[in-house]
Amino acid sequence: MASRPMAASSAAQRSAAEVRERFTRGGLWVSILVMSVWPVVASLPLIVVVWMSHGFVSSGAPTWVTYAVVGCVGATCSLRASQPGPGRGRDGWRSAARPWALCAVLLAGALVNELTIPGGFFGRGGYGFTTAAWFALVALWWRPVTELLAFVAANGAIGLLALALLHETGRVQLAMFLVGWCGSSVFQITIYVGSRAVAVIAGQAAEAEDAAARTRNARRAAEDIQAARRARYDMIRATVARHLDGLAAGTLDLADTRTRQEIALAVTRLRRHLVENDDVPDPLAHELRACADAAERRGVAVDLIAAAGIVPALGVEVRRALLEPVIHVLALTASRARITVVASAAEVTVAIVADTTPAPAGAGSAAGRLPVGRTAGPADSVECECDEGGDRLWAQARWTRSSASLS
Amino acid sequence: MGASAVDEIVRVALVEDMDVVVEGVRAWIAADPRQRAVLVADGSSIEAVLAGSGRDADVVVLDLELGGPENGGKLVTDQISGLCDADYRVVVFSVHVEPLIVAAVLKAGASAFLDKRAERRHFVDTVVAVARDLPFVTPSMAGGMLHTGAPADGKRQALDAVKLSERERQALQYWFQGLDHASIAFRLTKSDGKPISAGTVRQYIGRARAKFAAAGRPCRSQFALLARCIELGLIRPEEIEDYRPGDYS
Repeated sequence: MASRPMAASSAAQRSAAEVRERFTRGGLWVSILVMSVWPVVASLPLIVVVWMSHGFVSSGAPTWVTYAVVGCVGATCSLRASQPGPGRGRDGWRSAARPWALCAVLLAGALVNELTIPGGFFGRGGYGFTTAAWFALVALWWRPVTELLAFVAANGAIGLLALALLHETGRVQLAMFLVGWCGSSVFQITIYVGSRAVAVIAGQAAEAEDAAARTRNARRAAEDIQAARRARYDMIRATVARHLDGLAAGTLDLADTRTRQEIALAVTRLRRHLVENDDVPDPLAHELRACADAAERRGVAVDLIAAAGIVPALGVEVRRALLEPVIHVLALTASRARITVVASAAEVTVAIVADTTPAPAGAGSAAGRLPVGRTAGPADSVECECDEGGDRLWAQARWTRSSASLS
Repeated sequence: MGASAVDEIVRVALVEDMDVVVEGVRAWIAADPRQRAVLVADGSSIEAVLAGSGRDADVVVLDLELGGPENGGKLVTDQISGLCDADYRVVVFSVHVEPLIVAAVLKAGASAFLDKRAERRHFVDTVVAVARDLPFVTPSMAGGMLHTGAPADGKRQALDAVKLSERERQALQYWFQGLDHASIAFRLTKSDGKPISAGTVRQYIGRARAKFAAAGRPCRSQFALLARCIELGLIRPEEIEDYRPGDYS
């Protein structure tokens, strides 16, 4: 009964952090895709053309090649750092030093590129300043957004430095620079922030789902417990209510041995019911111990011997039937009782021998009140016997594995 | 092992570290109306008891838990086989009546097991019966003899391979439950519906004890017990499959 809500809960439990991480990883793949495609499609043809006319060094090709290498390293490290769980690769890359080393190369490449291409800052082959932020986005993916903004600012500063060195600080040039600067950073920042926002929303959705699943499970567990309590309550209500009614109405006399025995019976049975759903390795021994405890509280010395043999797994109905004679005899016990269990895979016998108080005249024999014969219902393989000799009462319940369950 | 003590006073050596128990044993022995036994030595360790006048004892009564709590509750079960190999008859006197432990004690070669709490009244009867190599079975011993290990444990199963008849098993089980011989006889009816005699119940239990001894560790006390069982007609020599006289020389 207890295992059902647990299983449902573990199935529904997806850590919100895990979901966030997964969405962030998705954003990284998008960034790597753009970083890989853009330089090839948009920049490479132009660089090749300039290379043909102005030679390798002035074409922007050295920066392009450097950036390609930086891109490969950055993508590999960021992807490796996205693997779940701690590890050297993840922790090293998620700290500031290594990604920023790549960023320094990017900034240096941008400056060299702008100073070497033909036609000044806005000449053909201008590659580094406009593309660096894509590579920085991938390298700085696991760093805070402030570091990406810092890189964008640094890239802007490099651009201004290049303009100053090239003496291209006219208004028009500065305006063009600003447009270029914004155009080459706004998409990167948008992708970074957007992917983080999506990840946060997805994480919150997973958290909400988790909470709902936990609520469902808690409700189901509560219902199960309630049902078990209800069953127990129904089982003991009849007895307890009858005794309480009798006491209230004055028809039950506590000085009467028979009344005390009946109450002792109800108390012992109640103790057994209270422990029958406990999760213990040997429930039969556990329930016998509870019955013995209840009797010991009344001053009965109970000798509860450990089972001879290994007790097989028994259903609650079978255990109830096996303990019924013990509960009855303990209620009738005067001072001493010995409880034994003999078990094998196919048979379990629970027996009790006890001394009894002499029955009052007209009350009938104690043994006459004990359950005998085969019990009906699911526990039909339990057979009860009892015998009374002098002041000694013996009873046993024997469960035999039915031929149906053997096959 | 001392000479057969059929008519002699049984010399008992007691290994027990609780003074109050030693005093109790002394009192029970003194209270025996026929004065069948005498306590010749007592001490808190096996070595101490056997070094002195306990050396020639007919029966060594051994507490399983020596050294008290400071010993960490360690049981001296492993020392029983050594005592049996040194030709002593061993009676274990303990509160550890779990059938698993009783079974281990009997298989190690002990002649009898006494429940310290519930079987004190059997004390003198037990040591006298053991000294005379009679197949004496206390209810706690019956529990140990009925104990079988888990089916998965093949080694245990082999050790447990004592083939009891249904009647022997039933008699043992009722004896373990706490019924007396007369009540057991009443419950075990013959084919004509009449109850068997209490003597027959004793025979069933005695036969079970003999089979258990035959399947246990070979040692002199078990051999003497088997010989006595054959003498009493409880068991025939050919029934004891594992009977190997050479092992006891």
